[in-house]
Amino acid sequence: MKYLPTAAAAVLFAVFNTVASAQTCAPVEVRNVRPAQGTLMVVAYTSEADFNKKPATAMELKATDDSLKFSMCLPGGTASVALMMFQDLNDNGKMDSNVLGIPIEPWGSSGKPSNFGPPNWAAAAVAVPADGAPIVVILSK
Amino acid sequence: MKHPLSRRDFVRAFVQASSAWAAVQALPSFAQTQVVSTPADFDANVLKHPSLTPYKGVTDATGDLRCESLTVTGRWPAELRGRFYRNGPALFERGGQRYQHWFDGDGMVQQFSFNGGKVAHRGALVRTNKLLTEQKAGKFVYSAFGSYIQSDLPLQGPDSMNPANTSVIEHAGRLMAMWEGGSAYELNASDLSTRGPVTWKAGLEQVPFSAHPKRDAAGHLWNIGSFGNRLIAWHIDPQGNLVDAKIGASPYPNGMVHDMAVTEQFLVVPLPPVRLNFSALSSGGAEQAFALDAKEPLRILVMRKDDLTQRRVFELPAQMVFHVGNAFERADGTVSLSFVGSPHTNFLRQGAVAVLRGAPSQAGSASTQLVELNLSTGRATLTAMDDKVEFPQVDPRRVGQATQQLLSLSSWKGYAASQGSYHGVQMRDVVSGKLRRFDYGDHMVVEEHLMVPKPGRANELDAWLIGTSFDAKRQVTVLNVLDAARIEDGPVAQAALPYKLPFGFHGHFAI
Repeated sequence: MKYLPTAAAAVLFAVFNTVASAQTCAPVEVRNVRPAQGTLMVVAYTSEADFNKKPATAMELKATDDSLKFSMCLPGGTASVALMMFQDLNDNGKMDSNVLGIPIEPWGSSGKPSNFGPPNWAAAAVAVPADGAPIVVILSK
Repeated sequence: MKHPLSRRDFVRAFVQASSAWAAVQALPSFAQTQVVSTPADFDANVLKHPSLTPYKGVTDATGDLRCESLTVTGRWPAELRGRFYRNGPALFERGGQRYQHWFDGDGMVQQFSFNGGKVAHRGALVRTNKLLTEQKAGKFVYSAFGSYIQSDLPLQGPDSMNPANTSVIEHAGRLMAMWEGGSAYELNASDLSTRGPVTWKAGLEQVPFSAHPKRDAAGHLWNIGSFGNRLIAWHIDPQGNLVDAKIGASPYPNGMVHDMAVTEQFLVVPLPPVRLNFSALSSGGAEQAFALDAKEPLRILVMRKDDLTQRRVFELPAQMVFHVGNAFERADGTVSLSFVGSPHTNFLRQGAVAVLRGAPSQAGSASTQLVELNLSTGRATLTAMDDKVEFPQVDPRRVGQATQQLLSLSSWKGYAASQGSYHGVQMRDVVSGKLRRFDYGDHMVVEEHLMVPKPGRANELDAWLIGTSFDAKRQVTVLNVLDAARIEDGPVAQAALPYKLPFGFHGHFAI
């Protein structure tokens, strides 16, 4: 199996997280995806303490189209979430960077990432939408 | 084949990624308000200043120009064959927005082909990723050097905002348009179409390859790049292959590094005390963002080409430096450097903003500076000339070796119409101090002139001088050819375009 189907992954991560039955699933829309190149890698953090350390859940999706829509299921009762993602163009399992450390694969986060800086919790955290409106993430270009 | 990632691998990928993200902090960060002058402001102001009309720039539709045969007057030298290139910011407006600073515009490369007395011109916008993205969006989406643009699009890196607008070179058959902060862009010499950013080797994507590479007498190309607290030293061989890209420390992190000189053993890099404070740009404009810190010295970094840690940093009184003339090693080991220095950054802060509003900038205050750098004692001896110059050039066969003739644009008559620009060219003999010059007149805006050696001749003055000028009366751009030995006589031949070109920065001559 090359890719974990979304549903299976969600179940798998639910087991990892030992989350009880209740989950909140938020629609996500990612734009600026480079179509048919590798995999979109997504993690979700649900608190500042866990940010960049302990994802509540993670997903990988085949980067088929220039816009990807999917559902991200979070532990029940999650109020705010920060999504971080990059497109693993060459499927080597890491976000490639140049000799100066500048990422050379597309990256993005929820919220209002700085034009010029690494994402942080304050900028990336958004309320989990109750009304079904998607969390929109624009990948770098 | 792709391997399914374990959850642990997945998290590790993000931990690695966050160190990459941290590097993004070295990129400029902009604050959240903006100062705006509009296309209409320019159009209204420029009516009073016919010498500034080229600052209007081109559009996507007018950014490709072609003239098969320019009107040649005088005697075009039969031996003068080749391609004269220029580059400069050219597209300043999109979707009703107008950039605030001359340095912001998308690059446009001009090519003049000389063939048996016939002169043809072709001009094309560099189709950078920035330009293509903004063209599609119908508006500017990336902040530029001197303009804050509100956008929700995260940057991939320096090349996201790379307009490839500063200089151009043809090296080993490869034509490249260069900017200061990102990759060189390769173009096709035959039709000026854009091939894309140059990645010299995997891992060097987006690493700054600045706009003033120097080709030494043996045909090797040397360049620097500046990123945060690091300086990159590039070495490309005469066949166009990367030899090395060394990374060293900057003695003045986040400072502006525009140009450099090369000698047999050393790279010589002026580091003026100017930090590009982009976060001040949007609130205080260029005025605050590009101030010179008079408490800091002008540093001249001299480092060995083969070992960047073997270095000496000379300190001189604070000065702004854009351009060097040349450097070479004397018999006693002293490094002699010529450059152009200014006591302030007024052009960067005000002049380059004024002209994009259609208003004249103040008269320039940069002058020729000659400095002797004693590597054993660390002593620097500076001599400042009493002139008003910019765009210094030397014999291209003698880059990194002793030169006596220093060519520059110059102003000395104080014409009201050409304040803030240059109305003439001067040749300075740096040994005897003799100055020879030619005045193009009060209605002419003169652009960088290059020294082009006459085939089969060896002396520095056995050269033509080639450069453009804008005729504000006729509203056209003219290409000029002078004889270096008789500069006072003015052009021996001129080739007039039937249109005007946007003002450019730097050029290159290729045979």
